[in-house]
Amino acid sequence: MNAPDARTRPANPQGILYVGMDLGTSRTSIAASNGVRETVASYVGYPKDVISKKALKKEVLFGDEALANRLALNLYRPLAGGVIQHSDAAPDSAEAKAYLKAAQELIRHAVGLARPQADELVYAVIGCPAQCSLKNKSAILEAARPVVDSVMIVSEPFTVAYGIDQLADCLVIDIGAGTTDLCRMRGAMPTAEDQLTNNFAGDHVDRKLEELLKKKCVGASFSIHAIRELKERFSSVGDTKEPVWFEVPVAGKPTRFEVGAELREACRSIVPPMVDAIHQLIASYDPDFQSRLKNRVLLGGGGSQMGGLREMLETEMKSRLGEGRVTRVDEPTYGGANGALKIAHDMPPEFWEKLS
Amino acid sequence: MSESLSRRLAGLFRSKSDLTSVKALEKAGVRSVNVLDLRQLEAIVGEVMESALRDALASDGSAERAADGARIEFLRRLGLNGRLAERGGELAAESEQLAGSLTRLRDALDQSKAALAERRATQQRGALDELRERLDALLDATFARQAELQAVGVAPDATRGELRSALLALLEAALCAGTGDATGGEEAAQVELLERRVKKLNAQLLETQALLARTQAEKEAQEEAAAARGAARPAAPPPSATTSVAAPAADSASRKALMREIFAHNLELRRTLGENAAEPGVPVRTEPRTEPRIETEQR
Repeated sequence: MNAPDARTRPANPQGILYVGMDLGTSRTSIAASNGVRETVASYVGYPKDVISKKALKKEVLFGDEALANRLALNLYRPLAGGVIQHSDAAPDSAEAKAYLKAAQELIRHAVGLARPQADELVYAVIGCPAQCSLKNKSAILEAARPVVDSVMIVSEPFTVAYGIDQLADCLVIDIGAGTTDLCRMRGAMPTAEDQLTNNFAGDHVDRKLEELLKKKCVGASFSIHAIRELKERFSSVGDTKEPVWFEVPVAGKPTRFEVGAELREACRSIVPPMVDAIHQLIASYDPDFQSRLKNRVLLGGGGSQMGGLREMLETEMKSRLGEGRVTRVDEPTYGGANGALKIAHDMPPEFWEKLS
Repeated sequence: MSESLSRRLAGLFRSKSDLTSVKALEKAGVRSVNVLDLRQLEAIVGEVMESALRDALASDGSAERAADGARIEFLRRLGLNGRLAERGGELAAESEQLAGSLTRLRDALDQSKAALAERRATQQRGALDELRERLDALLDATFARQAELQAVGVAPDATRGELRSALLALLEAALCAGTGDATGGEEAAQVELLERRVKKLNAQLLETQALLARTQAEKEAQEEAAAARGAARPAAPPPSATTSVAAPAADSASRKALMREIFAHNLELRRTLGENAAEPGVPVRTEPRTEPRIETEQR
């Protein structure tokens, strides 16, 4: 992380702070034109009562701090499937309002991490899932507009591709917590036919793992957070023989379970749908350029850090498509935010003004 | 060099370059990279073009060879021995291929020439046979006529003149038969075509061999210079600072077009949202409802 001190930061003569944001289901990452890059777990917590408010000394908590104090909080994970929860429901419903408020707080917090100067205008580009609905986009806009001075919504895998200058004949796979987004780049703005989104992503792995562990760890009690932590530390689809130990209480007594096979099975559950989607996008591409597309598959997003995933995708592609080369982007956590920042920079000022 | 050209060069270098991160380079074991200022690149490109064009004009070489010469000169100036050796290898392979093609073409030429010669000999033999037959017939007719003429008391000088005219006519016919044959003309054209191809290939081979010799000389000179400086050469060339799977980056025009599209999409989104806000009944596409996600903790 890189957070220059506001006092030592050079003055911004333009008075504009550009922000690229990857508003993710699991993590929200930002990259700003002043050099700040931050990531925060996408959790927002409000003290449950006066006592907790007095103890925590805060009206609202975010990220790991919110998770650490979750027992004393009404904890919200504002996004699911890459979009603000309940944004498809009636906007006047209490749930929709609560989630929208939480999302707005999260965006405000993320922008605050960039430490804009008081007089700086904040222009933000926010990534959204490839096949995000109009209502979902509207909800993100509604959440962001009070917080920033001008905002644009761009497809998340496109931001990843833009950030690394891969705009032609490549297939970007952004594996998040809520969705896996695929987008084929053909040197122009991707259309609906160029993009696919499925829900076989990090959260799917968590649910699958929870189901498997309930069978394996009989009598143990564990939370979804413990499962996420386990997954983030040891996730792998490869045939490794290394044991993975999961220590959880059974009737109050810490007990260790070897869960390597279960973890592997859960992680592997997202591969077949991903390969199906890759197959679909490649098979419907211009036949003269299919080979190039097969050999330029880019993996981004937090899920791309899963051990052995790249190799497994290559093997599956070779088996189903004859060839395939998969490369992992260098900075999966900030790939989307970096690309969004680059778009924000490249966007002519008059466009920003028209949308402010 | 003008500012505009400088910008275009910068754009050109950017569009042709690959992208990699410092982290990836560190992983690949690279500890330092050479940084080349754009002004230096401008100067090198200018000098290289001047040198290559001078050589090309002096040797009356083709545009492709001038480009090759420029490439070698560029590699030499950058001191890229590895790439120079690689180019030398490519040229050696090209030279070998050209020599092979030349041999095949020369064989074809020899065969065509032999076929043409044989055909001409056959034609000549046929023409001579025909000539002999016609000469015999003419002489028979002439001598028979001479006997008649002698009976009426014609001078023998007139007989010699007639014989001479008849022989001249035959020779003319024989010459016509020797040069006017259509098939012989096609073969001659084929031979001529092959001769021109051999000549062209020969010229290419000579140019390639000259470039190859130059590449080898440059490489040797650089190796000698390095040895003289006592510089330790790495066992293998370091990975390029710009090696990755990168596709050609979009130029600024296509970037602007993309920005316009993103803006138009967002403008349309705002417009639609405004309309929807004004008309609550307007249907919009909806996603499957997700489960409520207020996180709970097991105690």
